[in-house]
Amino acid sequence: MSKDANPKEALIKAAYADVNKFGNNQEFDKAVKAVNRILGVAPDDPTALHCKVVCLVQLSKFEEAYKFIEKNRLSSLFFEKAYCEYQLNKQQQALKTIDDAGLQPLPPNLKELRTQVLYRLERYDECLDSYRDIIKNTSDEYEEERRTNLSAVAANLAVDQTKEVPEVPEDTYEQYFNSACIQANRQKYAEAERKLRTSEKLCLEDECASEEEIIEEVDVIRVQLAYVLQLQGKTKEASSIYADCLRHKPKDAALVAVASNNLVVVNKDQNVFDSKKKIRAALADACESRLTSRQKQVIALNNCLLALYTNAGDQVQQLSQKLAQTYPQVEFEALLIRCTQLAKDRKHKEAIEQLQKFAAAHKSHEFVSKFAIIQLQLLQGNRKDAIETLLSLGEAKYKPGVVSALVSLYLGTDNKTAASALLKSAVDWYKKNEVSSGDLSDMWRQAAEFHLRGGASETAASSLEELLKLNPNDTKVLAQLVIAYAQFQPKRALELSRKLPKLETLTTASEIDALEAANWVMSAKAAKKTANTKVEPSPSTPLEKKKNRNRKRKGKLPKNYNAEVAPDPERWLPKYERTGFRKKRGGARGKDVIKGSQGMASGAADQYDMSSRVNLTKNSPATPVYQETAPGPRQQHRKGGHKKKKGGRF
Amino acid sequence: MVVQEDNPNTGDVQEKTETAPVAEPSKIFTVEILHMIKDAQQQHGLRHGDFQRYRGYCSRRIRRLRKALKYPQGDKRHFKRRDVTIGQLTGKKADERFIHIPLICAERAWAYAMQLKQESNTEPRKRFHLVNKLRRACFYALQLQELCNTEAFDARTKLECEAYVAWMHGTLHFELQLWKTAGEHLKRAQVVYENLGKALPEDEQELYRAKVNEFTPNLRYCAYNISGGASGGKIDEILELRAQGVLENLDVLVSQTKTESSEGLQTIDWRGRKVTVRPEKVRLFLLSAQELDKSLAKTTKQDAKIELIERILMDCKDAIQAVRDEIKQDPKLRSLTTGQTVSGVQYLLAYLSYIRHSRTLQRNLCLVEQAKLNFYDPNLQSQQNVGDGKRVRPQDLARLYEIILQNVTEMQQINGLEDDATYQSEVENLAITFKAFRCYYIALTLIDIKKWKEAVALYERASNYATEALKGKSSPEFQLQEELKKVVSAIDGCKFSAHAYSVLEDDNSEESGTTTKSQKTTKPLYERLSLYKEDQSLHTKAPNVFKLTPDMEPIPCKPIFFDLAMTYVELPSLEGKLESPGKKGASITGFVKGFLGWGGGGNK
Repeated sequence: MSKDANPKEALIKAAYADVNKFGNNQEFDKAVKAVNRILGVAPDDPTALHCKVVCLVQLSKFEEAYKFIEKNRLSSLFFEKAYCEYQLNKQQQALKTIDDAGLQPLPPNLKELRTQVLYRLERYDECLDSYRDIIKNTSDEYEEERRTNLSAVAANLAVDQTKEVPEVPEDTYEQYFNSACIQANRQKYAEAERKLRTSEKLCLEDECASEEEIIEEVDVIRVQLAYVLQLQGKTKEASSIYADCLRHKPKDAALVAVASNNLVVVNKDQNVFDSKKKIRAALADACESRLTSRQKQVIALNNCLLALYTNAGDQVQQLSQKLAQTYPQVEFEALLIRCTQLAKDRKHKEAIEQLQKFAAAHKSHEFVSKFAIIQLQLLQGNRKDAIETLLSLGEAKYKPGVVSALVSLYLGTDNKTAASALLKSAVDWYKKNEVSSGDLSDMWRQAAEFHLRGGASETAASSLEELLKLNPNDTKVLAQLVIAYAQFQPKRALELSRKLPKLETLTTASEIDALEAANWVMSAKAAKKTANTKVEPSPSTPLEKKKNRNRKRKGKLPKNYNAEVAPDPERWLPKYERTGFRKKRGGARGKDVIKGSQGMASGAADQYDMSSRVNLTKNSPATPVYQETAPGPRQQHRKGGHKKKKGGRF
Repeated sequence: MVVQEDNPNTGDVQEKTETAPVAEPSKIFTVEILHMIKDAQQQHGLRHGDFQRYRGYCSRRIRRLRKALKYPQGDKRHFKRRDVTIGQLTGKKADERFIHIPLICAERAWAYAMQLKQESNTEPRKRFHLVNKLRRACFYALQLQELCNTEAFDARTKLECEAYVAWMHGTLHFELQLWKTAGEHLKRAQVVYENLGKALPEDEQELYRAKVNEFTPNLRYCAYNISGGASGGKIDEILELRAQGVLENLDVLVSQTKTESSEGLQTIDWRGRKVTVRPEKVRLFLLSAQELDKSLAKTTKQDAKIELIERILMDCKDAIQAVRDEIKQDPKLRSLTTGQTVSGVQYLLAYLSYIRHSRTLQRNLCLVEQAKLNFYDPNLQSQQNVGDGKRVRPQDLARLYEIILQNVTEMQQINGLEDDATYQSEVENLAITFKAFRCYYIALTLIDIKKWKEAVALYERASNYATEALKGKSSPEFQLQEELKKVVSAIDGCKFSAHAYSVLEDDNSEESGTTTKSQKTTKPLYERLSLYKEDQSLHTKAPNVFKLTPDMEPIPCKPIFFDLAMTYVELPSLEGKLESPGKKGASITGFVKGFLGWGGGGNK
């Protein structure tokens, strides 16, 4: 029997040694196996059970660890149990577990965990107090992390504009990021942008983390930067940053949801198919637990609006109903979305009825609902009902904006009497209630102008009297009052006009005579010119033009003129006086003509034929001689002469 | 035999004169025979004693008359005598010019006789031709008298014709040296012309007086040729004419002529002076001018009134032209123009000018009334725009009053009325009245172009003018006191307005800035309940009352939050289970856990 006990103990010791070794090396999966061997031998060993829970938690197997604790009823492990509940997103249960521990004061681990649970439960005031207490009482190497967590709590508190935000440190990039979140929640976007850029620079300079970790961290900062740019109106830059970050496919589901949702907001009613995919990514279950309730609410609202933009009427109704049930604080917005869809479907009456029901059920929204009803009635073209709704606002109908709207609607329906009566009743109401504020000055002035325009001078004078009470030294109001009284009560106008500053009257009678001459009135063109600014233009003397003499043109020369060759000296002499002239040819021709005509007798025909035969036989050798020496006309000339000579012989 | 022929003619004339009816049908002609003959003779040669030229003129005149009246005597080939009968002077196609044909025929024959008389000095035979032409002239004269004694002609024409016939017969008998009958005829003609001259207005008496004087030499010659008892012969002739009843009939005709002339408005009475009116156009115009006031009283529309007045003004212009033509034609009247005293014709011209200017003033006042229908006076509250026409600006009214003032100035300068103190004061008062109106509308114009100081000055001047005009004596024809009082009261009211507006002008930039700021906002009504703005988009399909659709919202990233509780998850102490040095291992484990915890930022 003693031999059997010894092998178990040896086994347990060896397993514990393994657990210790693996635990030191962060190899919790191997440690779990070693612990399982121990539990196989000794199932009720408390130390082994504790070790297993720790190993499972370290392996992020919170569900398995939680079940193990429940099954074995390890009631002493408060911290581990609460931590598993915290990680499993059962915040209320975790808080209850911590509080039921009954340990006062809480040990540091439970206090730390409780603070984190409060942060998750979005009870930031208690969380802030708890962190201040922890920071004050604890001093370890996690001081900076706690300060960062403190700034995170402050950032969430900054969402409420009325609360005061404590000073936060700005040493690390995380703290810069959280400080930027504070500024963004306070709507100081320029300051937030500057801090975010600083945070990005610090994060990129971090050498402790790996490349992938740096990219993940920078993406978070960039998405927030894009958010800040978007709210400043720089949507293109923001859109490119969002797309760039989504291309990295970050592991953080919350980051994906934020970027997707904000891209949908950038798109608005454009590119609705891409928006549908992105809103579906934002609505994924993976990021359900990672997002705050406010973030989820906004995403759901945007989903409804996207359905509205895609004209999916039924889907709008369903989504808005679900939205109203899930998030009661945006019930009015859901109703407005539903009414917008009904208005698109030309069901103004139904929309108005729903708004009236909502106004009856929720008194706090009655005032704003009536304005929505008025909008729908005017969209419908029902001015009469809109006027009635405006009149049913109670005392709010005497606000200057409402009065102006009623006056516009009355004038639009050609009901000047009602408009006048309304302005008069408003004047009376303010007199009765003795409300004095600067905003009413404009309404008094408008009422006075309206009545002056409409011819009701007495009512206008009443309004102006009220204005004069507000501003006793306002000469403008006094002048308008004089104008009003001049219509129906000249004496009062005279009295008031004495208070007006003296008018610079025209002293010169000639000026008045010039005005009375009224030449400027006759022509409409001259009427626009002021009578006092008449300036006669002096007649300009015409400039004497200097005449420039044109040079004489060169004489025309022949086209084939050659300057080098001297002209013919005999070019102007008659042809018969020139050196190359031949008189003989002319004389010879005349003689031959005379001879020929005389020689041509009636009997010469036969002789001519005979002589031609003789001529051919005798003169045949002489003909080529003439051809060689003389040109054409000379040859022909000589030839004719010879023939006639022989005829003369006979 | 000749004497026997003459006696039946005289008897016929007497019988016709006695039996002529004096009834007046609807269409009655008036022919001034003497006046017409004198005009023709003066213009066509008789001024120089050229009877031949005058005869040619008469021939051409007869030809023109027959052609114009389409009353030819046959055609080119055949002559067929056609005398003018009573048929052409009554009925639908009656024309006054038909009576001119026998008259001009008589004149032609008479002219030929006178021509022959000139030529008979050298050729005694022409005296017989002369006598025959005078007989022909008497024939045509009797033909004329036959036509004139019908119902188609008035009393004056009958008298003129009576005298003409007597004169023509006297001339014939004078040439035949029948001294007794010639004297009788000439005497009768003289008596008729003398009485006719007395019955007519003063302007026309000269002509008849000259004609009466022409008979004196001939009558004296006849008396000389009647030997013995010249004076007794005259008295006997007068008694004989009375016995024949000619003078009695003459009196009746003379009285009728006076009645007709008075009916024809021969004289006018204006500002204490009576002036005769000779031109026909002027008389017609004056009659229609009297009818104008009745027509204007019946008419209610301003357009119709203006049309009526403009028609009268056209007639008035024609009448003035007629009077001026009369002045040009008469050298005597022309010489009177340069004289100091105003002649009757000048006074008539002044009267017509006054009528023209006063009617023009009346027309312009109608234009002002018409313009005021479309004019919105900011100083009159109860006024409503009734007119359908174009909107009228104060410049237009000022221009109208400027035209009225020019008219009044011309009215002041009418010739012949410079010395009339009452007239001048009346017109001066009118001028001041219209100056007040003009200044008032000029002030309104200045207000339109936002010149408040000048407007106040002109309001003052208009008020002064109006007060002065109310004090002075007003013209009885134009009643403007009520309007002046209205203008004065309006000026009292709006003068202060202009003063106030000038004060407002200094603060205008500030106020406009504020208004612009409030008007420029595009927020929905729900977001600007404290701003007064009459938004016109409420009447459109996109009212700006409330933003019905909420906006899409972007969401921020979560802040970075470290999971520090993880650092407390550690293995329990194993010292009891191990025999190895556990302390060193614990310290190493703590360090390693710290590193792990820091690296666990992935849970953020």
